[in-house]
Amino acid sequence: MTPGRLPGIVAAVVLVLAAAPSEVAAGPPYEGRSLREVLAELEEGGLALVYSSDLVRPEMRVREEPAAGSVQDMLDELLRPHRLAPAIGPRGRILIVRREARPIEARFGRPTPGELVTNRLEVLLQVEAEEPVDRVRILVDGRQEAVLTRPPFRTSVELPAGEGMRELTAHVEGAWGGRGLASVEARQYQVTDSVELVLRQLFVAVHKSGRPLRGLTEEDFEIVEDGARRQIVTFGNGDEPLSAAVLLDLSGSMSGAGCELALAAAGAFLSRLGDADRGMVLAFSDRTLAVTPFRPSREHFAAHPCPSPHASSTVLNDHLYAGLRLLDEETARRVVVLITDGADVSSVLDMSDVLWKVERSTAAIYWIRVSAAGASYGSAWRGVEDNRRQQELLERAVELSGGSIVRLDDTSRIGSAFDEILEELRSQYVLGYYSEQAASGRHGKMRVLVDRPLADVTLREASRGD
Amino acid sequence: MSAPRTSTTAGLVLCLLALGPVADAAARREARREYLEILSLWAGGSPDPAVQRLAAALTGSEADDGTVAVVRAVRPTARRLARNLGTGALVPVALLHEEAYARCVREQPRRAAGALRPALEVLSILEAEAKTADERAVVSALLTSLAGRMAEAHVERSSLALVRSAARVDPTNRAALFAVARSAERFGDHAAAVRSLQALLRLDPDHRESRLRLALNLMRVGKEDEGLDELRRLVAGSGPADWIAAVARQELARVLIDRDDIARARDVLAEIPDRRRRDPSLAVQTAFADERAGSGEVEDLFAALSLAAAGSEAPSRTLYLRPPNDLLAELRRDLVRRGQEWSPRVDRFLRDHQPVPSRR
Repeated sequence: MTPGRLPGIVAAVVLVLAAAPSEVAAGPPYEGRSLREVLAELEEGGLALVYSSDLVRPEMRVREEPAAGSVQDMLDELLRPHRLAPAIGPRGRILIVRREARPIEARFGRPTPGELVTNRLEVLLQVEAEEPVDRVRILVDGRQEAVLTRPPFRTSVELPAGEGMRELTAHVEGAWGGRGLASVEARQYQVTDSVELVLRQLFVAVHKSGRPLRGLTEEDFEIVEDGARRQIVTFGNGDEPLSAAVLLDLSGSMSGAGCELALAAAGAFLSRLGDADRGMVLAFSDRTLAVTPFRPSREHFAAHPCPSPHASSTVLNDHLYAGLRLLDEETARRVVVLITDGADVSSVLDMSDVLWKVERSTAAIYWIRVSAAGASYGSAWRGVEDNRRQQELLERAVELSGGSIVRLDDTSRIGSAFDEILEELRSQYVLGYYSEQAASGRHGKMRVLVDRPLADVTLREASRGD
Repeated sequence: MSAPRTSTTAGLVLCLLALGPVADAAARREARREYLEILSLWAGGSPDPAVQRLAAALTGSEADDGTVAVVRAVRPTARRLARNLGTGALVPVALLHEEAYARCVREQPRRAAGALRPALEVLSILEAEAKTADERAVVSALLTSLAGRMAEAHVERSSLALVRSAARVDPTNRAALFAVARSAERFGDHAAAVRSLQALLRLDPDHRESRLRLALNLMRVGKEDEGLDELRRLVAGSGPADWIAAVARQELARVLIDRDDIARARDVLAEIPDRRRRDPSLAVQTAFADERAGSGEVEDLFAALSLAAAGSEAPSRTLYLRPPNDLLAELRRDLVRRGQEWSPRVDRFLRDHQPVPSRR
């Protein structure tokens, strides 16, 4: 074989194949063709292959178009599905040989050794193999419970009721004959009683010498409930991205100049969000006036014109629910900023429905309460007493969410109210822990300790069923 | 025909509106002459100048001198007309005063209350004179119409008192029964609303808005199953796809959601026709039902709210607060027709019995 006889690329490949991988040009499609035919084509191109017809049989087909960047890898890809492999032979020839079956490494990711499990057992097997895995059999105490044929090797197994150690074994069978075995023991327990836990969130502001103390980590905090230390299960600080839904009530008292101010302040609020933050606006009266998508704050909404004043009817409850629901798919820290006098008139949802949602949401509600007017009004939809109850439930929703109420006597201060909220959000730490007291309806005495001398800690809490 | 007297209903209202100082005799004669000119204009087919002059006379001065003067002019004139022509002659007079009140509400709302006094004086005389069922029906209609104007001006308590009188005077007055129900509902007296609506539906079983309100008020007084039956009657079959049907479906769905019957609630909501689907409350309620069922996409809610924001139609639940009042409109059309029938006779009488120097 002389290099001069060979087409350029294949000749170069032959020369370097034994030494280092080489780039391969885009050849004809191989998938589905006879393996022998493809190998013959490569030989015609100058590749010196040696193989037996017992190994490369006529019925073998190329199963998948090779994607390798070198001839060596490409040949490996062509041969691997047939349990064959290229090997360097004498005088630079390439021998096609049967692949050796090698042991397959397998271990259980779930359950972990000694893990406490109930009668529903989540199983995850981690497998490392050179060859394709044909199947994995999962056995519990010697009895086969599941057969898995493709990764990820994950399943759940129902165990019979009972307690004690359970032995799980996994038998892995490779396509080339390789075998693997893994086992683990888990402890099954019977649930005879349940302890309800409620995830409680604490919103903590830490100041030193009157200035917010930023950069604290989870390790700097300690939560104490009724004298008992609680483990922090979630932690966030003010630098975490925000997703903010600004809900603007533009009916009745908010019409005219109040509307202009509210829109300008909402725009300023959104423009002050960071690059990673997202904001949207939902404006309403007795109907939806405007809804913008969540988008990076720098592209925030262009100012919407104030609508002509509508009658005093307001659909507050429905739009608060909508704002919370729209936040559900946001991954950042969720915040609702609500600007309203709090007077709902014609919502289809009761505020107790919104409270149901608040209990299932992680959004904090900040209510910029325009005017402190009481709820002494009635309509065909709700009487005076019911309206008073609606406002009380809204106050409860804000408290439950861990947000706060910023009271405004007039709308001229609305911009500074937004600033106040943003400043609070930026300087807050959010600590989550499981509270048994909350689950039993009691309200434990809370303390948060911060590992910083002379630091002032301001605490607000939100509790939601988990 | 016996001597005119002041009835208990309108008289009571008049007592509440204290009369001002007594004008002197010359001023009184001048006021009466001015009033007769205005009445002549109205009956003679020049309604706008008549209403404008009467409104000006009623609100022209800071004190209520103008009102007092008009009231003093109304009494003898109305009594003379009733005595000579019959109570029907007071229909155009009452309508003039109602129009003047409406104009005052629009143009001088702070002084509009004064315009009610002469309007009520006319109705008081008319009510006292009404003997036949038809005459009582006319009195009741005029009371209802004026009460409607008062309700539009947010004088709601007095409006309710007046319309209750109208319903007592003529228990078959559907517009009055409806107005009583609406006001009672507005003030949280749901039992009274139920009584009025049931009376109305006995007279007019096909009045769908009354059936919707009856359903809701029944539920509010604790008769939830009866209310649900009424709602089901409203949404059954192929009724009009209007705001009434939409509210009925939403209220039915609301109760079903409260009862954790989410699947049926979603079915009920899904049948609201496309025309009403731009309503944000429908989008929210559907999303809420979906979430309670553990399903639903946030994108769907966003799309529905975007659609609602692009719409201009008043939401169904807003229309429940401010419905187009078909019964009152029908009643007013009938009163105007009656007024037009009587106006020529009133005009002739005024010409024959009262020297009118000139028509300005």
